[in-house]
Amino acid sequence: MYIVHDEAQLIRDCQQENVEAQKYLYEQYAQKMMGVCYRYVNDYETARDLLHDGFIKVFRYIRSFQGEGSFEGWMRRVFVTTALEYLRRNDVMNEHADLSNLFDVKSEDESIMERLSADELREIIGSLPTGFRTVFNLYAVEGYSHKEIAAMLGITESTSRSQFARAKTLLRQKIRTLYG
Amino acid sequence: MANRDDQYLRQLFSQKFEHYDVRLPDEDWEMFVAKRRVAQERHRRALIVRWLAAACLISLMIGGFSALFFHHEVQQPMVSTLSPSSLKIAVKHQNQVLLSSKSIKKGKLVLANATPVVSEPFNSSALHSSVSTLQEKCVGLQQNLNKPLNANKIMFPSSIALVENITNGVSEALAAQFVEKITSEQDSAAQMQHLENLPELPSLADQNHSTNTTKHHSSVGWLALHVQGNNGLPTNFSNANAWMQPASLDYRLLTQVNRNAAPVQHASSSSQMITFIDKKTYAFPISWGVTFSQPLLSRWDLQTGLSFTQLVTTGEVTSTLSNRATGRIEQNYLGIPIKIAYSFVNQPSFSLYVSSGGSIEKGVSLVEKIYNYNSQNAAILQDSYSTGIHGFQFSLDANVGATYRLYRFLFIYMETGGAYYIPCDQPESYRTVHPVSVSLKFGLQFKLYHK
Repeated sequence: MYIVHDEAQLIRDCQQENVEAQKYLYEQYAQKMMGVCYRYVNDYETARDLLHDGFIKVFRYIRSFQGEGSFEGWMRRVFVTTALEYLRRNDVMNEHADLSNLFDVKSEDESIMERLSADELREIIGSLPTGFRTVFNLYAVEGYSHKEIAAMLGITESTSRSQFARAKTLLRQKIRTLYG
Repeated sequence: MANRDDQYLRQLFSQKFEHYDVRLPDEDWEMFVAKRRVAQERHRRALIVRWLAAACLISLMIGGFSALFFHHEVQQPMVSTLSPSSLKIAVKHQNQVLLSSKSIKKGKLVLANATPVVSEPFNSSALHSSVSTLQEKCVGLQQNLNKPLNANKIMFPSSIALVENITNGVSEALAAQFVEKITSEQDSAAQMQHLENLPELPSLADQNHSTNTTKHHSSVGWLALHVQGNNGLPTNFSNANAWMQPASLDYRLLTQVNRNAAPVQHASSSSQMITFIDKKTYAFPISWGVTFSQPLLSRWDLQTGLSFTQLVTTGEVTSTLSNRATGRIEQNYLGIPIKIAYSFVNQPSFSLYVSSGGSIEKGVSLVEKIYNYNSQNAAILQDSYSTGIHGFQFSLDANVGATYRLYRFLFIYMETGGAYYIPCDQPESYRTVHPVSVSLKFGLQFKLYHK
């Protein structure tokens, strides 16, 4: 039975490749990181694969974590990067949707969004085209700037803005259709 | 800056997903452990392959540079390290003159411990000719070696020693006697009269003559200016249209822009930003460059240089200011290629070669331009953005080429082959869409000489 007093000790033990500590860390964060992966790929089994790939990286590179900033933030970045690598590798970033029927949305949609649960929102985000979904997740949920997103995805800043604007519009349209 | 709507969305979604967990199966840790074991094994194998590749590359570079230095060394022989062919020629002439001297002395030549080699008598003019030719050759050799000139004093003793080795029976004393004899006979024509009726001495070989004259200009490689185009191979070969993916859009845009040159505004960001979206078109990458080739060994060359490549992507965009606009992204790369070339046909005016190697390229700038169209359908530059490109682009290539001499040192050359652009973290471009491509390169080569 592994007993840990604080996060710093847990990290130290993981850096020394203590398997019990690694298991403890996995159990502590797996479900949360699964939530991150699931938002990007919208497929449970694929998200689980990404979760495993992400943890392999976490345990491989945990020595590089020097205690600067939050450990959870560091892990989250690892999982986001893992998901982006998957999307890029499978060339799904270039999927496009027919947006010819988009219409402007009004502020009353915001109150609907506030009432929705995280699961419901994830489902709606998951139904967006991959490019839109990725940029939306990075910008609205992770809090990256368009400049950072452009560098992460290998696109231009303006493309990131465009994808986000379209994702936003499409998301509101879906919310109105489903819950309005 | 994010507008109010974006800030609201950020706040809402980050709160909603702050504690968002997704349930996992109970045996998930065990599955993870099994998967990690496989991944670790794969990682270990990949590390071995990388180390091997790095070792091969380093060996190739060390081998190349060693060969390069070795090549320079043999181009500058010292007296004590004359090339075998030069020594052989020198020895041959010395030997012939030595034999002439013995004939003069005895009428017939019989070498000690040897069967008669030459039994023909010689005349005096032939002897003089032989001696003067020998001295000329000594002078020639001295000039090549950039040493103070004194043919009789320097060349003869070393040559005699070599004669001794080769003729197997001519003593140093005899050779020294020959030198004395030659010197005295040059001064006294009367003493040569009795030999005038003898047959002509066979003419001495003059192989060194050409060496002495042509060695003044030896090739040290060539410098070339080239243009190269790459056409990417489609991933789906059944789609014939994929071969010609770069469409006329790019050229149409260029035409429009050239006709309506508008002042460029540099903007870092804008709330009314025009967005670059669907229907992207990638233009053929075009490279310009300079290549320098250095001979390594016979038929083998090391080629390197500098190249500039521009990758252009264009596409229709939507705009908040206009319903119709076009975007253009230019990515500029500087690259250093390194190749090993082997000439399998090597004629003075024509050669055929194969080459293989790789290159490393660094993106120096990414420029995005967005154009609107006015009522006359003319493109007007609305916005321009510039940024850097992180990371490097690596590629491997193999080519076959031909050169043809136009005028003395000037050659034209053409090269074709295949290239593989190793997928890495570079912005989207023709190369990321077509990592495998065929290339056509042509240019002018300037053969370089040194005196």
